Amino acid sequence: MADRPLHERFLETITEERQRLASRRGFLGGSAKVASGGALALAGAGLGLRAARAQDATPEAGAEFPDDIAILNYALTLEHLEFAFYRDGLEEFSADDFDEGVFDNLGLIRDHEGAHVDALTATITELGGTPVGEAGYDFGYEDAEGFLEVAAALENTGVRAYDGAGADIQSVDLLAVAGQIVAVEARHASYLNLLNGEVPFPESFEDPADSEEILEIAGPFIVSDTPAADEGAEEEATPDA
Amino acid sequence: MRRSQEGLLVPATRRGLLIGSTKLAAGGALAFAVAGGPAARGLRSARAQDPVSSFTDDLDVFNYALTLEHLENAFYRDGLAEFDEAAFEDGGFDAQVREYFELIGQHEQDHVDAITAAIEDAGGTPVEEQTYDFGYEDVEGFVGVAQALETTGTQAYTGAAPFISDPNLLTAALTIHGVEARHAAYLNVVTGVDVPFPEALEPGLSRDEVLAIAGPFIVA
Repeated sequence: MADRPLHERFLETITEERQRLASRRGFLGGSAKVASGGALALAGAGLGLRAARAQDATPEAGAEFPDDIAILNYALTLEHLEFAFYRDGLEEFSADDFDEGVFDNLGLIRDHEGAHVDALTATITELGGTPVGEAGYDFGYEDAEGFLEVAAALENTGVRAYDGAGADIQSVDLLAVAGQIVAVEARHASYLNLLNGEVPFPESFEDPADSEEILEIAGPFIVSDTPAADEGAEEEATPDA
Repeated sequence: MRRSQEGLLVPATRRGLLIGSTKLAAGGALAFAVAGGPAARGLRSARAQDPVSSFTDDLDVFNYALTLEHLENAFYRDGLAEFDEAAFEDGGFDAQVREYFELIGQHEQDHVDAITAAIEDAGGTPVEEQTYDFGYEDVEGFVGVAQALETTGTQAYTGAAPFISDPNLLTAALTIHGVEARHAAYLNVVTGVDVPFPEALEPGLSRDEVLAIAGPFIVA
């Protein structure tokens, strides 16, 4: 139930862009579904990449995203979520709630996510697309410790999402930007794992995930189509029965 | 402003399929460049440094990556043989740091094996390990070089990945790229030379820049 708004949003965006840019469709038939296959093949290093190509030949193979704008909006959906998480959480907590230096670094991460939101929004607009907006979220944490756990989950998920979608990006420029973002997400993930007492780099290879897997993880955090602040204002204006 | 924006134009298109979308691509880069803040700076410098691919094909990119992975692998293997737990402790590093160095070393070995296998599968000839001199004299120097190598490795993948044509190989490279970035962030924490994530967008290094940094470590 909780993931419906996000899912609907994706479908809406994908439908719009498919109509607008139908002529570009079909270029990348056979290039999708490589994400997890590539990782698996590499994880068993000796196997090389042949197994990934074999998976590539499944009948359903086809680009997961109709075009780059759809991928950028997918990324933007996750960046909105991350930015709102840090923005709101850091207002709730203070430096005293964390070990020395942690609060400042969390502020830096927040600024990065904000920069990613701004950059993706501007790029989608520039390309003639409609950038998705911020939604309303509930991250379910109750204290600083819980906040750090959710932060690590979000950052590790972000890396998996970019790694899963990266190969579908058609433009060299946009792929370069995605690569610049994902490395920073991986840095965040490493640091947050460390704060949570987890290994900062648990595997030799990242584990790419497709959008369905990402939706399963991120969807439950999304509780409404609009930011919570807007809802709060409405609730205040409408007294409970 | 206009001149620097034009410098962002990249003639190369992936898979040779998207001639008509080159303009779109450039537009995307422009939007990032004008978006403001560190994001804009990161993108502009990266594109300006590597406007066209300096790689002949995917095998070339992968052998380039393998050159760096060999160097990293040898660095950890030999350095950890030289510095035991006591040496790390004497250098002011707790026991966990050496354990994580072991793990990083294992990752680099896995990267070497995977990339070597991928190149062979594709019919290429993988480059081999060379002889290196990393110039460190104590464990602190060793840890410092590790930080520099991981940062360079991350930014080498950032710079090269967009030029990989094959989607499978691209995904494979991305799954290594993220792990190098994780190493780099951790080593910033351990060394304290910088915050774990200095930029909103990771700078990408060109092949020439990377070889200028890594070259002096290679003695034969």
